[in-house]
Amino acid sequence: MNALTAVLDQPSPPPDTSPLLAVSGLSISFGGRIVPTVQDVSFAIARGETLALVGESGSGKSIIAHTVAGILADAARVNATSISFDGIELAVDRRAVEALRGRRIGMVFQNARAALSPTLAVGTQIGDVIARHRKLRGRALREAAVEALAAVRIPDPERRAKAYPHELSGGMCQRVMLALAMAGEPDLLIADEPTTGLDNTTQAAILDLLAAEAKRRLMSTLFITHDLGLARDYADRVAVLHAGQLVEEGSALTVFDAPRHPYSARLVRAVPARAATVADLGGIPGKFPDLSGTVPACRFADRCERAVERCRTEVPRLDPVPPDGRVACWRPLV
Amino acid sequence: MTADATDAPARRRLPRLRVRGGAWSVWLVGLFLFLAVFGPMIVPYDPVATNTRVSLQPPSWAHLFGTDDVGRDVFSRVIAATRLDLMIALGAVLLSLGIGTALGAAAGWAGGWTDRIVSRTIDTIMGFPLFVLAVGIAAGLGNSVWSVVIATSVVNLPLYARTTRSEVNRRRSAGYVQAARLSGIGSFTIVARHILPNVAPILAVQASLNIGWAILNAAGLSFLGLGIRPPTPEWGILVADGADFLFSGEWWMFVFPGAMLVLAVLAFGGFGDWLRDRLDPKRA
Amino acid sequence: MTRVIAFRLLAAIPNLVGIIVIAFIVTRILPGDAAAYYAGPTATAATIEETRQRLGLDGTMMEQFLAYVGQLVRGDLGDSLSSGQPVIEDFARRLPASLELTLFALVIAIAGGILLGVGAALRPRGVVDRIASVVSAVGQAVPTFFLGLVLVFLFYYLLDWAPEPLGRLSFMYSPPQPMTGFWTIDALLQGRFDLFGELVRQLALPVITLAWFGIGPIARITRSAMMDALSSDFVRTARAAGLSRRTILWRYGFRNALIPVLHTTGMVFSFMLGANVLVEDVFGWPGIGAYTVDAVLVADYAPVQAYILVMAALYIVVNLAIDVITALVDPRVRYDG
Repeated sequence: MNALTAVLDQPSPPPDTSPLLAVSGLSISFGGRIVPTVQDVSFAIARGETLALVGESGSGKSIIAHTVAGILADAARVNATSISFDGIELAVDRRAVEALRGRRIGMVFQNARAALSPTLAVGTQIGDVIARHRKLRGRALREAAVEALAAVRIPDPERRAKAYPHELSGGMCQRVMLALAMAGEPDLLIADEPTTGLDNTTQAAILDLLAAEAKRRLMSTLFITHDLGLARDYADRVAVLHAGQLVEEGSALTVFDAPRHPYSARLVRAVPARAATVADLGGIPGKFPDLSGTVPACRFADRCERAVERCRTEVPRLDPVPPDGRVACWRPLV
Repeated sequence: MTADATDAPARRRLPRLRVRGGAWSVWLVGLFLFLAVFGPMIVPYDPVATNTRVSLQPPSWAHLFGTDDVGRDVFSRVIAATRLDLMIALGAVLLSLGIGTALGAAAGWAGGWTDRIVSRTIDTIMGFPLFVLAVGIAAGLGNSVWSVVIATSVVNLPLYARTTRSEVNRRRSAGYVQAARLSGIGSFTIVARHILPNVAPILAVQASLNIGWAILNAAGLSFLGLGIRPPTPEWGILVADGADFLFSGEWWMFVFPGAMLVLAVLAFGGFGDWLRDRLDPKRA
Repeated sequence: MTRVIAFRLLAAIPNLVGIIVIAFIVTRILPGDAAAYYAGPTATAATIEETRQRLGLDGTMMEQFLAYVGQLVRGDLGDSLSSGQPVIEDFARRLPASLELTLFALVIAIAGGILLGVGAALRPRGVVDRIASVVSAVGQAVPTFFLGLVLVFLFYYLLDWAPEPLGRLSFMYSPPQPMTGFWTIDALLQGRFDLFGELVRQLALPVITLAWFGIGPIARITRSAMMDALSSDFVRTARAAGLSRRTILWRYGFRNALIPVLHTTGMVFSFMLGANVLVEDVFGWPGIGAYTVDAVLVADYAPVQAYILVMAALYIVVNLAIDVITALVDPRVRYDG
């Protein structure tokens, strides 16, 4: 047991029931478009919980994650009633998040090799983060970086610390990313498609590691994925996005066993085996709405066989679903 | 996801003067060509006639660009020099275009040893300070207009040879070339009739962009006193002559020919961009 | 690392051979009879023939070439007609002046180009971007010698800020004891700070003239490479990890933009070696460029040959240095060999 885990294994504070992250009324637009790419999305993550944000590519899930971390491109216009992180309001002052980034909010990206600088050794890159947030120098810093690599179960961390990203496998790079994201000991980890492009075995290893670390550190996780199967296996709760609208939210098991939104139901039906992903769904008819033109009020209406006139004119309310879910549909499945 | 800045509001972009590739450069090139052909006929004074009674006069209505130390009209000399400067630049560009294209086409078509020798030679020339090479060649060839033309064209050869080589090489296995081959057409005909016409637009753009550079190179050589001899009016020589009088404040002698050089380079550079926008939209 | 250096040195050999051949050919195509020229105006047919033999000009081309290479190997660059001295001695005295000028200009061009390029990348279409495009446009359209003369006219004749553009140092001052040959550095080493200031004043205009033409290309490549780097995934990671702006900009952004910048620097240096001839001519700089131009004008070909060789050697050395720095910066290069 090393010093890092010793600190983290201290008795946990009295349970705090307020959510760690609460987003409400979030809309994001790009350029001169009138139709927002993300429309009026609200969700919350409790302490220690893992929420999966699920949707096809283009559904806006990554944009939402980048907005929470405050690293969205300048061209985006963000509007939100509130983005509250542990009582700190981030929606009003977008710079407030800068103090949290890397320290209280960590982030893991897909395609880890490209997400690491090719000209610095991985130990150096982790060291940069540790130096920034824990003010360590010299030998202590080097040791902390090696420890961080050991914590994500990288074999022979002393030697690997001196390696460059191009010398490591994709899975190894993703572990380095994870170590880098956790170097500041964050309360919230945002994992943006962390295993896309990795083979199944490596994917499972990375996600198991992520889950284990989250549990050990009492860390909340916002898990962005297009793979509903992964969401079921690794998330406590699931929020389903379609074309920038939140259509359904609930505990992972409920959404899977009894989806209420026709879109969720299709997603579930389309994932009979673990191998299928939302990306290669052939089963959902109709095209993703083109956000540069006009779109129906419920953006799923054109693809939905249950759609009625109201779906095109009035945005569905987000209604509670027992026990703790919500669905946005005028004609939900029972 | 379209989170890139190219989506930025188009409405904020104000209409701007197109500095590069604008139609103005075409007019300017036209003007230069006009001066090259008719310049010597329309100048107010004989560009080489001396008149010591009016030496070193500042610009006036009688002498727009002033007069030099022996009373020659600077305006007339600058205008009269246009023909020589453009002839040198165009001659050099055409020469390197012709030889460079031939070498490049041979290397690109034949491959093997021909390719290796040509490519190596090109690399050697490219891997060397080009102006130094031009000075060396011009020095070797002695004092004539031709030595400037040849020196300028040799250092430009690699540009054309390289482009042609890669373009010919790329098209060697194209369908229409294979078809021509199968119907028994000879190599030379295939390259000349079927491949080079496709490469021509690219070379034309390159050549027009290259003229400005050739003007600078030639003027640099004659500024140093290589090739062309005074009293022939030539922009580089005019600047060099004027430089001697800078210290006594007779600035007009070097400023006007220098400004003419700048204008010519800008005009041909803009013209090259204009041509590229029309012939080769991919690279615009 | 040694492998990189060894490999690049080997790769430079064909170029060096090519340059030697060119230097040889250039002087053999000189018009007129070199032997007659060397024998002097009062020569008779007999003395010309004797000179021809003495100079080894009577053999075949191949023999002459081998004799020439043999000379080179012995470090003999021939004698200058005009100064009557061995070319190598003239060069040894004048090369430091040229190097001081060119290297100062290179440093200014790199620093200015990088600062302008980074500034432009941070705010495309902003003020810095505009300045960079103006500097670059001027550099593309204005002849080197004309820019030099304009600067002299403005800053020496009109404003009287700069000293008279005649060489490295006004005759009012005595130069420093020769140590490195770089007078500015020698002056500093000898603690003569007033002399150092005077030398810098004298260097300013020629250095700016020469540097100007390098700033544009370096700024342009820095801008585009920097914009690529700043929009890369790894800079996004660095931002998400909460690193400071400075660290992100230089350590994660610039470090990864450095390779194309270095490459362009090599080309800029090559260009400067050429432009150096013109700048030395304009500013009366006692370097090898001006010396060679004088030699060229009197058809004194040994200095021309030597000049071409020295330039080629310099070019090869600088490119080797750039390759080594590239390998140091980018670990991926080290393994490609």
